[in-house]
Amino acid sequence: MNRRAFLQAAALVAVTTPWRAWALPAANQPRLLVVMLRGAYDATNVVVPYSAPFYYAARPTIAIAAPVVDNAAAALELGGGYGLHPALAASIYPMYQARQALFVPFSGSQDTSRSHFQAQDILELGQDPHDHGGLDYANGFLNRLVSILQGRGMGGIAFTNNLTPVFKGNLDIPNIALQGARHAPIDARRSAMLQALYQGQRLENYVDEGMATRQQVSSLLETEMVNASRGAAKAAGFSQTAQTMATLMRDKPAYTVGFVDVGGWDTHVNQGGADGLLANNLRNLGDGLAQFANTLGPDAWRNTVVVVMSEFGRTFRENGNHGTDHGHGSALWLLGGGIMGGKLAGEQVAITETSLNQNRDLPVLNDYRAVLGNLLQRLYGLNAAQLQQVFPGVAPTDFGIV
Amino acid sequence: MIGSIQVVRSPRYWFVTLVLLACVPATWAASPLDAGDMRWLNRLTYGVSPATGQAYQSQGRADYLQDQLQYTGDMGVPAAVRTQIDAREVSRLALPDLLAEMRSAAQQIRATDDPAEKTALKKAFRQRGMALAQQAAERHVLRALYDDNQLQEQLTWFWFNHFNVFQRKANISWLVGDYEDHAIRPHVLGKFRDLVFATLTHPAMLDYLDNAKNAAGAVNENYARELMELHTLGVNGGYSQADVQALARILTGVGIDVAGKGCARGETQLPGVAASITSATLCFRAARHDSSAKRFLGQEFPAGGGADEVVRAVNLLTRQPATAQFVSRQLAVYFLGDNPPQGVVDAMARRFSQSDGDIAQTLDTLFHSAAFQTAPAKFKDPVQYVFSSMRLAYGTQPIVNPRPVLNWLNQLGEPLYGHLAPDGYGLRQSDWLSADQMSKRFDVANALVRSGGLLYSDAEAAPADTRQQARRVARLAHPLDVNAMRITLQPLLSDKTQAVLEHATNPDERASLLLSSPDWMYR
Repeated sequence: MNRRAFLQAAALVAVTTPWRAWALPAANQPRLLVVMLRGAYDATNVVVPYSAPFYYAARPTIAIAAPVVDNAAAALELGGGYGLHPALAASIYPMYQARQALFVPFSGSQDTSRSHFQAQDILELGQDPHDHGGLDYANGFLNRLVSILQGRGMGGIAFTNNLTPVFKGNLDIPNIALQGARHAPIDARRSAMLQALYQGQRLENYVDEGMATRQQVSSLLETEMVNASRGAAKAAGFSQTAQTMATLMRDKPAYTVGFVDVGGWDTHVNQGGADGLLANNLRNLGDGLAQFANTLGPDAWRNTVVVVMSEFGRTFRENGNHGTDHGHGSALWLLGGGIMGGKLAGEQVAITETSLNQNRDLPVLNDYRAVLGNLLQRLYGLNAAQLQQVFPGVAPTDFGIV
Repeated sequence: MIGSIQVVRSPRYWFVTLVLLACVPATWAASPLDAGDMRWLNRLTYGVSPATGQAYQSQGRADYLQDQLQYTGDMGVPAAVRTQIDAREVSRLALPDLLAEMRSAAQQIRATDDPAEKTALKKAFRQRGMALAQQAAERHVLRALYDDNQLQEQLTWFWFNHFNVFQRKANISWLVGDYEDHAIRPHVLGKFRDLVFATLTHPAMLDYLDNAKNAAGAVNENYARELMELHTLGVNGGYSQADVQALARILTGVGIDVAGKGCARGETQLPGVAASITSATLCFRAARHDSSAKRFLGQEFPAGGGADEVVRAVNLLTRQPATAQFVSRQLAVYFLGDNPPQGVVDAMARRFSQSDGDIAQTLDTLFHSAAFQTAPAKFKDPVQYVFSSMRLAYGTQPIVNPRPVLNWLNQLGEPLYGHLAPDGYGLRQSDWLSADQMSKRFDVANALVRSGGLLYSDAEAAPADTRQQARRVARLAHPLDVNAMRITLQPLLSDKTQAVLEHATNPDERASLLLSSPDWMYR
């Protein structure tokens, strides 16, 4: 089936099945959370190539020191000549040691525009870069995934203010912004009148789903708040969002594929080393993801995978302002209780001045679509045709990750 | 009850409507606007209010448009609102004085060794910036709601968004009011190139996209890239990574007169660009400029150049056909529809190029195009939704407290000066339409119709009991006229919406439903 035919078929499915597929809870149902770091995080200072002398030559003021015992500012040993940013010492590193975290350096999309906005769109759409029909901005890879999974009672939810390209498509995916918002449900009388206003209108699905989602979230969080208030510290910032996401994804079978984005990674100036701007962002992110795992609990965490991705990497050399500019290859993170973690996966190359892409940034040796395709195949048992639906044109590759 | 709604109007409905029609001013009721006029006006303005309807009818479409295409500053703002605007400190502070104040505050912070005092001073510094940005946002709301020249206010939002800065980066909160008022607003209907020069030299942009730090030997390409990708050529505008690097070097040395010493050994002007356009605190430092030879967009920039290179590069960029296309398309997406016909964009781009980037002329082509007369309804973004709702519900009675309006914009995800990345907010339906957005609009509609007390009293500092009393009095003094709202909107309301409105049991509920209706989500 070519892409167009598939899309038409999917559209028919979308019309004939109820939009909201509240399903029966399944004990070992897999869960997926995709975390998008907008602004292109500096992967080189997170998965640190400390064994490459060129790394220290290229980053005289922002490099992370090679792992040393008792130096809290040094990288944490990942093996293979790489180390992890110390800001993740309390959150992600313990997962790595427990084989519940892995990294895929030299990964990303084939886009070379170095434009945040184009690269983010391309990453979220996940379409075939060799399909020269142009991008279809209304067709993201998580929407295509949920189209396949909805028959199994699974659904998607965006924890974002607006629906971003990753979830756009034939299936209408609900969204709910968790940060700084209260979600009082709309009372029954007004709900009924609003639904009457929109009955048979083109926005009807959005209205119905918006009210239903809010109802779900508010009742769930009310219970959670009561349960969790026994001396539990109040999570700050992303941790709080992560805790709510975990609660919803743990208890609502329909919310098994989640998406959230975190901004503020475009560090052109004074990005810092072991401390500073990037370190603070990483600590906040890492703490949130650890909170996510904790809130899910060990049983659910075993069947959950968190993907952290970003539109591109940054320049390998620091710029004139102790920051980094737009680059190419990045590093994917995979976290989860059941993954084959504790290692770096995918192709690598020894980093020297000559191995850089355009003498500027890291090459992409591992197409992120191939990595995620491999993950989804294993996580959901997708067959070859289904893999092609989610990531058209991708060659099945085994990265040994799940 | 609700489940059995039918499109049958009760006799009471007709009675009420007829009585009310008889009560509205004769000029207005005599020839109500038809749906076509309404749609046209809803694009030119933030939304039809009875007053805009009257102005439009007495002037006729051609003259009305002619007026809207002129920049009129605050002349179209009613005196009572102008008084409010002028009363805000942000409207009186000159940029050099602002920078001086920031400088001395920063000096004080540095000077103290007492940690507690340092923390307190830092907090005061942040709060001062936030207060100034808040004042600027309030001014923006007042102008957007009440300026007769609605087009220039929409364009102020549009061009700010095009040349976006984020108030929470660095100290931009201090500067964002001046940026909007001096770098953006005076040029919104003028030459596109002036907007580029004004934003390029303003400290808010210089800090936001880091060009203030861009120097020979310490090149930072952040601004250079976005200047091409987002401000002029567009991402597919035909430039390369080498062009980004060349433009970054051309822009080295363009900075801010931070020391307030009259920019010692630097230049405060760009050659050939009027002083009224560039920022008063511009400082071009030749010593920081990379004067080696460059090749940019296929042109040679010989060694030894200075500020003249910046002017040459901007002239080159703003005259590219790709820029004419990109800018025209953005305008057409905002005013016409998510996928504007290529023919309209081409015609606009031709006019743009022929007029040396004249924005009013480019818009004139758009507004006279056949496509514009019959454009299908476009989903409102949150700013348009909130402003149009305010104009419809509260008309020309100026509010005295714009803060609730700003809160609604925050709630709907489109706060003023609040977009972190330089691409600005999205302009298409797909950027805004979502399940969560719809629920939140219903919340906002419900709050808006019940907020007369908040909007028309400004007693934040008063004790709680007098505050409550002031709000009660204010609300009673500014009742919502739901029937007038309905009559104004009549040509655009579907039978179904009309029927559901009949089931409301009180005016607040009816007004809330009207602002929640599908008809009102589009313009």
